[in-house]
Amino acid sequence: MRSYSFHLLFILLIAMFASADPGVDAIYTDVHDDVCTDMGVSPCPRLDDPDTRWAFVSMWCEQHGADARCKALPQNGPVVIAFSHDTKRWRVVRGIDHDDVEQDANGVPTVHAGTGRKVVAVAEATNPLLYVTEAGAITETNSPAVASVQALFDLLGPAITKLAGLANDGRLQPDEEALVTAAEDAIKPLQCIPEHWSRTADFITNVEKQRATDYVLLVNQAGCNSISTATFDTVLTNLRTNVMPLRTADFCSAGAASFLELFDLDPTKVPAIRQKFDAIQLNNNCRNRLGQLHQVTGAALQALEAGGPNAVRNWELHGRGSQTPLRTRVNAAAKAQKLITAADELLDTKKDDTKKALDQIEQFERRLLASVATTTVKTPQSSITQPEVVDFIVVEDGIIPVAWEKVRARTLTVKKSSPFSEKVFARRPDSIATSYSADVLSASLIDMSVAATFTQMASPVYGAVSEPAPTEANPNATRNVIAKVDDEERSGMLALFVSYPIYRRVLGVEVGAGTDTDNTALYAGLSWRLGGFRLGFGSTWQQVKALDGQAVGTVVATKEDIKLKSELASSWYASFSFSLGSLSLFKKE
Amino acid sequence: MQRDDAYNTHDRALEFLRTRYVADKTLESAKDSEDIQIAIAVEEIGDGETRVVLRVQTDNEATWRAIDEMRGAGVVPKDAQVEYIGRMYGLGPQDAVSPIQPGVSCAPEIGPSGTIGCFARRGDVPFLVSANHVIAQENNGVVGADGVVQPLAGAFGVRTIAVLHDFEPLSTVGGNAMDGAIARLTINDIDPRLFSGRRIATVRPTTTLVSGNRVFKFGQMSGEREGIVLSTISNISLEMRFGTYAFDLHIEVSSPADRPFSIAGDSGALVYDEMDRAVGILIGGNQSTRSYVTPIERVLGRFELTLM
Repeated sequence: MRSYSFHLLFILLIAMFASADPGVDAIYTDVHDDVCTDMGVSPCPRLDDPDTRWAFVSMWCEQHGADARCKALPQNGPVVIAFSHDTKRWRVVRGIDHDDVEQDANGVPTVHAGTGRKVVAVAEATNPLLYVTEAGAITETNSPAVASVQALFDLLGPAITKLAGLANDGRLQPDEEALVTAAEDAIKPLQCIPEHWSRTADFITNVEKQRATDYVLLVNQAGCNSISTATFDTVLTNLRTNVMPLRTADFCSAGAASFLELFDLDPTKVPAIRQKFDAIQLNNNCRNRLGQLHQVTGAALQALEAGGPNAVRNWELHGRGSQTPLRTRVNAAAKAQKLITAADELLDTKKDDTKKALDQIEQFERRLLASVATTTVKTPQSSITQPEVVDFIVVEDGIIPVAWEKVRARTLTVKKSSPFSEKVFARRPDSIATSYSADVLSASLIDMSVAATFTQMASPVYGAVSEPAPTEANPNATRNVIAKVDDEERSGMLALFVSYPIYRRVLGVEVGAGTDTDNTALYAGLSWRLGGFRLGFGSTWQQVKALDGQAVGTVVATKEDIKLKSELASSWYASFSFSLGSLSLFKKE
Repeated sequence: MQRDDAYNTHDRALEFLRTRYVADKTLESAKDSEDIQIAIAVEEIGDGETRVVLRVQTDNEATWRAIDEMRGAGVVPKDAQVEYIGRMYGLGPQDAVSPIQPGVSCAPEIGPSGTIGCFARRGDVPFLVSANHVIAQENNGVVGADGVVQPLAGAFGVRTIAVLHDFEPLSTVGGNAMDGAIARLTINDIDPRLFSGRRIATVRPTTTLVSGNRVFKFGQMSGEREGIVLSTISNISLEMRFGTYAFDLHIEVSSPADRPFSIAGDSGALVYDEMDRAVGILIGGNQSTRSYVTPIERVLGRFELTLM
């Protein structure tokens, strides 16, 4: 049985323990900070305020009740209440009894707690990666033109270096591949940005849909460890440097194309082949790159001209076998041009969008890490899985310190706010507004109401009535005597009651006074609360009329000779009322 | 003759010779004329004295007539020493060489060059061992008919040194066990030592290779290079001239990107260990950090050969 009888006596003690328990920090470190430490993330995005950390741990422990750490969690920290983003309802998480929260017709809660305690709000059943909680205006950043940046990279195609057989067939040589590879390596960190941006949007969607998924930090993506907003300019400089040689590189693609055209000719049209072959011009560089091919082709052509037995077959075989190596040269030249184009755009028109996307990824990762709670031991390369992302948001700027003399209230808005939102599936409304308030528990327990009372008590009404009083002289003579001529019913009177609960908020004691100042009426009894209504029963003491020194039957001349006095009479009463404080309950918005 | 005079004489003589030679060669009527190859040198004979000498490489009428013309025109002293030295050859593994050694260039009659891996014997018959994609052109070679030339078609001094004898067909479906082919040698001037002089006559079983072992290869393009065994059971796909082929259970070798274990033209080269034991035949790579090798015991077993 819960009693409030000693509540007031403990107000000061509770106030002393109003701040979060120091053990909460240890739990917060275990389930949150250690993730950063394990993954080598510094500084770690975390809740700095001890009360919000308390709320974070309270929420986590509620979902991990079996964890030994949570069993030792004390009750005397700040009050934590949660607003469900899914059901739009508030509930108590920790710190007070459920009955100490009253909700109006709109579900807006008022927390009754001791003076000095703090009330921390949490939005639960939500996606902290997509939504934010704020009391004030929300600034939402537009998505950068990531799609256009991605499209730029899509043009580049696969890397040029391949594992290949190593016949000396005129394919790209290591120094040529090195030029392309260096430019590809220089552009790859930037390519990470739109790719990772898309992965991030997918991850948020999967968390929103509660589908199994995981997230690898940008720094741990293959080839992406060198890119960050801090290194962005350096990466661009490196790109500029490594693309520069491509601008003057000669992959002998013109010569390679000439050979490809040569091999397309009909092998029976030898003079045409000869003419085409003799027209092939190779500069010094290409004589080095394609010299052997030129030499073998010349020998094959001579054999063709001589008409040897295998000449045509050898010519065709040589031409067919040269297709792949020659095309690698043509492709390399095309790839180089694409890299140059991409680099030019990244260094100029796409620069701002790319950096903005990178900045948003980094902001997201801080937001993600702030919302991670797990006991799994991580490594710097670990991914973060969907269950490790909490489904609540501690409202950092939403603490209400309970004040003795005031009811304090805050609005709370849970609103979609993410630069990824356009790419993300959201199953909750874009914005929900609610509010919550807090006042002093002891004050909230005193409930005032105006009640209609019912009682058998009545106040007698006396009058002078004529009765026969024959005399010898006048047998028809009469006289006036005092008689009770009526009862003034007290049922239906209004009274003002003050009640105080003795069992939960249902059963209480009440005292009241009649509103009719001419007839003093006092009430004392028990009350039974049913929602916003209250039924009372007990004893009442009311001022009623009585004869003063006279008695019924006393002879008086007139009614005015009757002497009355007031006296207190007692009886039982029943009352019916509705709470004054519940008037707002009926104002549904 | 003073040094400056000798150098001036040398330059004049060379210009005369080249002008005349080029002029002769550009005339339609002279296209089939004999080659004229005369080297002009300045010799130091002591006490600051020098002399101009002529080295004759082509022994034909045109050459001797050219020498007379040079003397007659006064571009070389009338008493300039003349010495016949004959044809000269490049001495690299990419050149025409004699004797033929493992590590030098070889090629199909018409096709790109690779490297001779090693010589091996079945009974008394000697063969050269290389990669299918080098001497059998990825199954396109005709066994018993197609020659193997050295260094390659169209090169100076090219000659046929062997006839394609057998190859393990490459398949574009499934994993290939090897990239190997053999050609029966048709010449006698062979030297089983590598072009670098190493003698590789024994085989190291692949099962004794472990990751981290140092291996070497001698290829016609990159010469001798060192690599580190990464794996002995790697599968890999290699893009070649006529198709892309998957290989199973191959040896993976790593090397620094700035000093690759193998580059284009090295295919077919013999890979060996620190104790000069044959490890495998080089078949491909990325020309920088990775190379792939067919175990030699698999190749020798397939073709029933013994290393020479």
